[in-house]
Amino acid sequence: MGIKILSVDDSAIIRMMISKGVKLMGYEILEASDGEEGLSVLARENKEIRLILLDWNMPGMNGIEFLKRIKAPGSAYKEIPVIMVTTESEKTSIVQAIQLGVANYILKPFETEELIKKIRLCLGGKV
Amino acid sequence: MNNVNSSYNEDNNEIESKFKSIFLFNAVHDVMQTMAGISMSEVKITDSKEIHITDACVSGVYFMNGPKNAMLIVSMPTAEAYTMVSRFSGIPVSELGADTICDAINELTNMISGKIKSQLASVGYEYINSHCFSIYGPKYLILHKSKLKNIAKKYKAENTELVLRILFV
Ligand SMILES: [Mg+2]
Repeated sequence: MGIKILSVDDSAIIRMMISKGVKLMGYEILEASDGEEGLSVLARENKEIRLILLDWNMPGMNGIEFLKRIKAPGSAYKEIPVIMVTTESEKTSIVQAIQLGVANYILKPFETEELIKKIRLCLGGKV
Repeated sequence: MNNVNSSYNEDNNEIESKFKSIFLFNAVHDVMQTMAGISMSEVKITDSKEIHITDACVSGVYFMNGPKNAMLIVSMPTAEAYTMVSRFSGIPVSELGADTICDAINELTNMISGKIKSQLASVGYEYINSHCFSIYGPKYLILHKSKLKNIAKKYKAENTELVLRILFV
């Protein structure tokens, strides 16, 4: 079965760019436009998602709230690595995300090569 | 009364000095270069009233909440926005709709404000994020009170131009 990656971002254009990169790698992409939709996709896909690419600022449930939910004790999705894809570049934000368990961080704007490199790094050894 | 005025002016000068030209240029340049491979340079303008886009344009508007609240407005000619979005999304211009263009200009504005925000943080001015909205249509004017403190900049590349306005609200 192919590898599934979930992109959670409120911007359709960013999801398109991420989708392009992920498909170039030969993986399957699933999309959600906010945290709540992301949780529904996770529930529907029943632990088949291998990586989450997560925006920070989204209307509705934002990236940090989503992250807290999936990394909470007892969560079924705790082990899925998360890469934050955001404009939040301040040290305090990066530290907060790392403390909540993100595996890597991509600052917007990004190039597809950087995205691919970080996805590869996160999935390293598991592919 | 004079004391009040002078502290008011010093305060405003302080704001302007924090929103350095180089910060604004770095933000626009980095975002446009990475997203669209476009290298923009600043157009020297003596009077901010000269700054406008003559064609129909699309604008992204972003509130910057911080020590002095500001509104960032990024405008581009609509036709050029379509070409640029097509370039970075890989979708042909004919298949792009107004929704996608507005979404892209929002995200572009979001990224520009993110870059400005992080440079401001490096000089002790902390801003927090908000959400962006866009203005799209064949003809509109963005007007504000003339006494409202503002910064206006114009950037140009071979095939496109971009206007950035910061209004201190
Ligand atoms: Mg967002």
